[in-house]
Amino acid sequence: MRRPIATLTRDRARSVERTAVSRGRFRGRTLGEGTTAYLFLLPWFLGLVGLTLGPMVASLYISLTNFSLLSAPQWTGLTNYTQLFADPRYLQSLKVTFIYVFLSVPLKLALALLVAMILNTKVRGRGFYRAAFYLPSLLAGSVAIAVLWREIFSDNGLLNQVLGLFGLKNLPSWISTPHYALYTLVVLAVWEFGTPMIIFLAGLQQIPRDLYEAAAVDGAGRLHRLRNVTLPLLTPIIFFNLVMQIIGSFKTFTPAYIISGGTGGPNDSTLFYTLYLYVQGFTQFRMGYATAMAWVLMVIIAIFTAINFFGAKYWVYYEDKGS
Amino acid sequence: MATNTVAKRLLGSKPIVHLLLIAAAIIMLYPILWMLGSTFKPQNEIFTSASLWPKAFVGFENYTKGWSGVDGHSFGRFFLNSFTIAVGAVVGNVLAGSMTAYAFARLNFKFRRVCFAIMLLTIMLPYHAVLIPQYVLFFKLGWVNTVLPLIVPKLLATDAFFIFLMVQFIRGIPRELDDAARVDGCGYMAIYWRILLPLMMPALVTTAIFTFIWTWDDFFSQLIYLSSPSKYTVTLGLQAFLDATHESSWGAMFAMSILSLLPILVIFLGFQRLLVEGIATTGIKR
Amino acid sequence: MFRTGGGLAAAYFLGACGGGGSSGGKVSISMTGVGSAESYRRYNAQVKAFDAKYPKITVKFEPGGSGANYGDKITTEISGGSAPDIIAVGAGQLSEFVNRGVALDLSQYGVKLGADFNKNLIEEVTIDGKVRAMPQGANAKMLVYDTVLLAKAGIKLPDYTKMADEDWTWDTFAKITTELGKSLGKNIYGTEDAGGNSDAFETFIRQRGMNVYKGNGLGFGKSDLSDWFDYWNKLRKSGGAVTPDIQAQYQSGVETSPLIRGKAPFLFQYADRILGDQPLIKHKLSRLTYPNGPKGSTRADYLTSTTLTMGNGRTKHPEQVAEALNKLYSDPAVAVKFGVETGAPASERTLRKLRPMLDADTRAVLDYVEFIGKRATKAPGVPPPGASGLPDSLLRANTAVAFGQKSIKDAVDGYFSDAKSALG
Repeated sequence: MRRPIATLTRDRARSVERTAVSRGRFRGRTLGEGTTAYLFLLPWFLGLVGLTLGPMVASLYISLTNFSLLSAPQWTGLTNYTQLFADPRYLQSLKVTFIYVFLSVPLKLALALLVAMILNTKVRGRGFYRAAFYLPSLLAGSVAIAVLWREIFSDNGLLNQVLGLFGLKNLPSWISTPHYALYTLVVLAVWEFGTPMIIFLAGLQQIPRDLYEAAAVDGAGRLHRLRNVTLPLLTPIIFFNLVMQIIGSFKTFTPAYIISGGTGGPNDSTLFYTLYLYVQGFTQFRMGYATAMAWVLMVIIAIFTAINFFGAKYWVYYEDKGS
Repeated sequence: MATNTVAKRLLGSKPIVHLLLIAAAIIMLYPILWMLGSTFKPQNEIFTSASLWPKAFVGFENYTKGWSGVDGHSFGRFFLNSFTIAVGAVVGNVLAGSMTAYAFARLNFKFRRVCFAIMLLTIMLPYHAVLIPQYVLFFKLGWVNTVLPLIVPKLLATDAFFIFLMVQFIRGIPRELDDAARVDGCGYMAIYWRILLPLMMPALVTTAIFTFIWTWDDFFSQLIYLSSPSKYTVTLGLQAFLDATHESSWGAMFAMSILSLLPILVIFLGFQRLLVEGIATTGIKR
Repeated sequence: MFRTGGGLAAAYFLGACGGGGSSGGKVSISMTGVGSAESYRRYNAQVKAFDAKYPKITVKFEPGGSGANYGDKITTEISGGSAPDIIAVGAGQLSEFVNRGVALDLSQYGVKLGADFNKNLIEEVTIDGKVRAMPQGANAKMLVYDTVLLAKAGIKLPDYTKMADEDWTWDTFAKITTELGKSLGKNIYGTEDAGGNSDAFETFIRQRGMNVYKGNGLGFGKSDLSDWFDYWNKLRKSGGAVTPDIQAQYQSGVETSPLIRGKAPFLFQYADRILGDQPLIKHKLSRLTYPNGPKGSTRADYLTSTTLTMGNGRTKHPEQVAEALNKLYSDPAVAVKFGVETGAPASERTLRKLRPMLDADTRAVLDYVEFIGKRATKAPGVPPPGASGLPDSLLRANTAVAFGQKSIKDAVDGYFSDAKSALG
């Protein structure tokens, strides 16, 4: 199975003029490109049409109704959507979520990239370190995390004990003070940087070593290599992590749910968008309203993602186009 | 390796790197140690003492009590159930995901951009908004209280996260390799199977690790779709130790949480080795 | 067109009722309940006893999850049309279910709660003259306290049975907790801050001769709520009640409460909860009633079934469901198997049968419930539809006052406007 790769070299690959690979030449031997594509896409297409699209359309319909979950939906048109922006708790949830996204995503990605670069070296015990650094993400949504975060950030928690050694007294319980509670969740998000770290590590593996060798031959400095080899070749993965972290952070639910016991407290200071959506839908039985919130969030995320894809043209480098 | 020297340049000498790593590792390990300590504490010490080490050691009673499980079904059963679902999800995400990614990354077809956009849109809608319609769908299909709602969607490539991940990896592989293979007489299928899959091993490994762990840790969809205790998974078994109004068996819950971490740690440690050597890249020379 | 859409939607959601089936004259019905593995064991024992005694109906129990998870699962199942025939619900949500036609009218199928049942519990499950659910157990509000912390401050309180109403008022409570706050030293206070606790507030309001809800609206005025917030504001300032950040940590289980964390000796609870509290803490816990109103005010006490069991209004076998529900909770031989899962058994005969089987701690819970039962006045009935979010509104309003984010007046106005939009 691996034979062709072993024998393939980039020199060989380069010797084949891309222009020579005209589609016509191969059409006789294999299925057409379009047909092949549809065959490969078949599972995805079945999943989309059979499992995903239907519920999405149904939820769009629900967002235009008054739906208590317990009795059938009643058409109300755009009422849910117009009510949203007059709801102070909704606006609060928007604010909380935006602060969270703008703080946690850059910090988390920067830390993940830095640690991935260090752990991609031949540091002794890197297997252990990788596991240790991924561990918090393993525990992601468990009760243990909620307990632990209280142990650290409560009034007599670990943090205040450490700060106490430096003579700081009368410190609040960070996790349950409206001004700080959200930031303890940002810290939690950054602490769980394991997922993007592993993805960066996988991305670093894909960078061919000979490129470094070539750069070394050219006499390039270390930082020069980082800037001219590692980072450019890693851009597709950086881009992926950026897009996905933004999407994921906007949809963040679990940390706030487990740490505030589903309340978004104290006093709505950690009322994340999806948490408020859940409260509206499942505890107040206002599923129509909750679903309208969901569609607005989707539009917000879609705009951010579109901006990302547009911006990607200027900084993401793909091997498949480059040469 | 080059990045090693970069790290050196950025962080100074090796001992300092190690010192920093160890300090960081301790912060990361703290929750596990706390949880492990709690499994040996009597119930009245878990929340009243800040010490990691149990003052009154209760032995392994939390483990034996926890293992007895729910409704006559032991935790062994729950481990098996979780494992089945996780493996099914891994197979689905790796196979169906890589096929879909290959089509998006390498093949030209009509509406490619539109399809890609739709795929990304499907993960932007919060889960709670589609939960009810999706539940109704699976109920009408007769899949409720079976593992099908948890596995079939993965086999049908509904996990856009991994598709997009693999697309990015494939796009990092030079197209000349495909072209060369085509000169050698390879069709699209062979390019996918013999060229791209081996080369994107880091992405496949990442997909497998994350799918396994996330499925193992998943709670909400398992709660909704599985009802009989005989079909319970580890996360469902764990919540059965906790009671909102009555006595919760915290010690047993933490004991089983520790046990439930073992399989995913083993999977992680086993697979992360594949991220060390970069087996796929060894063949490529410029 | 939209009407058609609505019809289609109705057919899609909430379609058929799940579970159940009949073969050979024997009807099988499904049942679900909330709790932990221990609760499931009790549900199963109860169902088994029922099946053995009433062979015409088979009840199949499936666990539904604990706490909020249970609510998510059961709501999903109801809207998907797959909910079991018999469903446990929180007392606070019963009227919502009745209003949406989900709770079976048990009176229609001949269910009557006789003299064997506590009057308060009958009042609770009877809506517009119809029995809509069976009470699972009798429970009562109870103040739990840490005897060791009190002893440290040199305070010893009499047994709840010997405490005269006028010796145990909100004023005495304030005095004692303020003293505790002073003598227990830094960072330990007299009581949790129950200003956001809707149960404590209800007691306070009932002692003024009103109820929290009246028909489909609020039953008290702005000045009542203002007095309540003011009471707690003073208590916080005097060091009697915990600081808001300590109180705000108490938002999930009791393990996060000031009581278990050793921050304050008093916690506003329900009678049976002490069985879950005590194992978490080394200090010996004891009990009192909630404080009384000033001299001459009405007694607020009543018994409640915190969890109820209702029939699914869309069941295929309403008669059998009603029959099974009735026997599950009123036949002592069956009901006794449920033990004290959600408080004392609701039926007197079951209670008598159960008592000798219990340990001293559990019997103490039953004694307390019995004591309150004797003091009880008319139950307030279940909250009206739409009220499920209001306890949270009260909590937010009190928290805002405590953190100084809102004046008492603004917090009261905020609560009233929340109530207006929720209750419609």
